[in-house]
Amino acid sequence: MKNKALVKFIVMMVICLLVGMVGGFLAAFLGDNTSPAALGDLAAIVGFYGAPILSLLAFLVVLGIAVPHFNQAKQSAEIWDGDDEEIIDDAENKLNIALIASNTGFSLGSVLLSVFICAMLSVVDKGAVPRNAVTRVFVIVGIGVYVVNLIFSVVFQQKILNLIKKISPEKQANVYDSKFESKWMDSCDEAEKVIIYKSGYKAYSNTVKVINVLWVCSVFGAALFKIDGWVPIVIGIIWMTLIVSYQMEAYRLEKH
Amino acid sequence: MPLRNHLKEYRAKLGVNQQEMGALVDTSRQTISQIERGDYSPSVTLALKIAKVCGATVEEIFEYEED
Repeated sequence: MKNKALVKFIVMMVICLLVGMVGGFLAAFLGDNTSPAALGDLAAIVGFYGAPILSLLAFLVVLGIAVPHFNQAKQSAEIWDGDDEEIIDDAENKLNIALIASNTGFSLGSVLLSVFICAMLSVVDKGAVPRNAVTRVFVIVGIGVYVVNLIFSVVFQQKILNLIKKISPEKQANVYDSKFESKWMDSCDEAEKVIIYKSGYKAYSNTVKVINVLWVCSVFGAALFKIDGWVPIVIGIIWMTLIVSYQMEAYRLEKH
Repeated sequence: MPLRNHLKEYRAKLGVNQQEMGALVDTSRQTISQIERGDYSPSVTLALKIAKVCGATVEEIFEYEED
């Protein structure tokens, strides 16, 4: 067993070494033979037009998943007589899906906003896009969808929390409270705390993997494309990884 | 899962639902549900509380089975 793990580790190290060598060679080769600025401009134009569209589509998908699941959970909670365990387990399951969809949508929206703003600053500075009505529409959509997503996310999470409190009256916390996390933790019992700890560890472990990949991408990206403004995008991806990993693991453990 | 339990039977004998059982042992309905499904092994403290409420010993409610 130990030998198998060691062989797997060595194979992984060799692959990483090869990727590093090929990447380093490409960075040196392209650095001498192509225009990194042109590649950066192309990426910025794609980001400027692509991010608002993706942001709008992602928000609509989130609405399509989160709202029906929430409504179904609310209906189940209203007809629950306290005895039928299947009804309330199903309601909690649907609430979890609604919460995952809403949080994933908001963190993805934040990543896309970062992409959009970095791209916008880059293309506007260089005059790479025309200053016309279409461009203004993209700016309004890019920022407007995020603001709507933010408001929806806060209000929707409070609604989910109110329903959780109705189903589990022992829960005491308010999304608008600055001490929300500690109050929520205090109202959790031992089994819920185990789920929180396990999900927290899973989120940590996934985030470390993503940080490794992002670190490699940032190094090669900076060398190859000379793109500025990686920081908010990278932080957004790390944030999204933490939230999505945590909630997916908590959902898996609760549903089991 | 090496820990089997008879919590559901004991709860039925008491005539309480999961929410009420949770309130009796100062825990949530979800935890009672997870214990009954065998998804969660309770702490010694919670197992003792459950046994006390059910009027049984911990060993009567929870059984350890060798794999």
